[in-house]
Amino acid sequence: VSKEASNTLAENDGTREDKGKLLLDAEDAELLERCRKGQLEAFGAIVKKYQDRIFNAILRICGNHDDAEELTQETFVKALENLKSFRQASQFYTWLFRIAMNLTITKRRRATRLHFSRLDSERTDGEQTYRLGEIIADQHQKNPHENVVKADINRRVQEALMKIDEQFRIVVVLCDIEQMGYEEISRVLNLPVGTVKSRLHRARNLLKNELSDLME
Amino acid sequence: MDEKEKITELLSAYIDGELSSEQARAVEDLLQRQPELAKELESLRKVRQLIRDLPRVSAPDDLAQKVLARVKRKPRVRLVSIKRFGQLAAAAGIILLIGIGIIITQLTHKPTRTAGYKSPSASEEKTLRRSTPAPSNLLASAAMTSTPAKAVMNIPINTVNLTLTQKQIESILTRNNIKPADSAKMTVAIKKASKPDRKSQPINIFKRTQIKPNQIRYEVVITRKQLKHIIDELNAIRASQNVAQVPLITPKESGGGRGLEKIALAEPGRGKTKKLGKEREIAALSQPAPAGAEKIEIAKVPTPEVDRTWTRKGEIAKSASTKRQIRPLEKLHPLSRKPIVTAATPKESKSRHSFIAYSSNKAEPSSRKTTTTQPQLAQIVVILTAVNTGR
Repeated sequence: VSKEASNTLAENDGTREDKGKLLLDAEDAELLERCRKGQLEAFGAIVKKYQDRIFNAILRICGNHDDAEELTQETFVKALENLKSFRQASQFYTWLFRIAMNLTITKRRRATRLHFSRLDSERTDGEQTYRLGEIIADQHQKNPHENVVKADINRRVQEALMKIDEQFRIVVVLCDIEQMGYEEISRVLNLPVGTVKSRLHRARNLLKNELSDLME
Repeated sequence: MDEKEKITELLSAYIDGELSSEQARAVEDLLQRQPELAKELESLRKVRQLIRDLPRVSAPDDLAQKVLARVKRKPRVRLVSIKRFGQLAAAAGIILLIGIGIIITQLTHKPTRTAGYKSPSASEEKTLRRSTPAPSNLLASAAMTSTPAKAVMNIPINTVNLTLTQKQIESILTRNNIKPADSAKMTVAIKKASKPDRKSQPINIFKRTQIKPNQIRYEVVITRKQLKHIIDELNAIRASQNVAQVPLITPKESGGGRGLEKIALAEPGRGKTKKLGKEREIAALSQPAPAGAEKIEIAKVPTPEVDRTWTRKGEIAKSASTKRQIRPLEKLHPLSRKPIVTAATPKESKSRHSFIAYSSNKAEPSSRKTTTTQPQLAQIVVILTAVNTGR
């Protein structure tokens, strides 16, 4: 996992990014500089800044809370280990997403090792037992009765996401959830923009078929 | 991809704002003209909205702490150690390869003379011998190139006349201020030669032992510097005796086997010899070598022209007065243990000197004006065995 992720990092960083001449976010630049000086609290700040985005994206892709947490942690650890390879030619979060997606894809390929739980499986959390679909559909839904319909729709959408092929799911998540542009997605996934465009189109068509009853 | 699919793909990019203004205008024209496309566009927008409406799930509150804990717990130190381990492993691999290379090289060179050592108090000696020694230049070369800090050399030299050669050798030793010593003194000197911290010890001494009516062995404790001179002078003796410089032995010449060859590596301080290859008979080193001594070099011996018989001279009794027991192995190749064709035994006997040196890291004595800042020079125990077979 690590090797593949690292290789991709080394190969990709500074290629397409160079064309865009993107400037690194000032706050990120400062935090990264402090990280390189060995200030662990600066790295902690980076983790806190991006953990929700990374975690949410991975969760929508793998559909499992525990796996998403594990992969998110791994993403940041990997980022710290490979900080030298980040040449600041891209936004830091793009680089982070690249690590996260590489780790997720690689782990997904090892499906036999990484158990991606079914959405209808149960997870014991203290004394309460929740359905994962409900958790993922709306974690902040303190009272499910307030918006049962909305929660059900979210669960349906998440299930539909999990049904489509991973290569399409990732593109949809990055585009529609992370709201990245095609160019940025192509950098994260190391794919041509045309491929991103076609995958996204196919993903939406597949989702449209899965969620046809919700279209009306 | 058909035309319709191309258009719907454009629709998907259109709602994402990823089309150029030209493409966008073209799509808008199509949408106005084709209501079904407008419906398709609306479906895509709805799908996108459903995905976008998925709630954002926050990471667990303690995720940052867990990450930092992981970072503190393992990565950096472990990574460094893995890298170092890799470097060490690579270095070890290189060393191993070099070592193997050296062994292969030595095997390829097929040295045919077994190095042997017998201390003054030694009880027995097993020597695999060939009757003709190596050319002097080769011997000198071997001696010069194989005299590391710890070395054992065995340099046989032919002599025509033992008495004459004995005089010549002793003359060399005397000229180099190497004086005769008794067995006890020599034993002490050999033992102390391997202890670099000992300053006062017997040095520049030799002991002569008549181990056979036609064999004399000289054991000499000298410095490394002196060794070079002595080797040169011994080779000069060879040259003066006009020893035939016959070609080096080849496997074919040696009776089909690998030839009588041996590389003996003695464990420092133990005098044990590791057997390499098929060799089973280890000659010499039946006597413990001086501590720290490492036997590394055997000179090449050319094929004899008149005698291709492999012989083991036999065992030497513990005391000088005891006769040696000789167990001839004429019919067997010492390596393959297969019968070999015996060439005509020479009617004329031959002479040979074995020149064996043990060295160890030793500081030169103060009498040699060696200061402590100078690199340590090795003292060397030389065993010189002269065999007179009356050629």
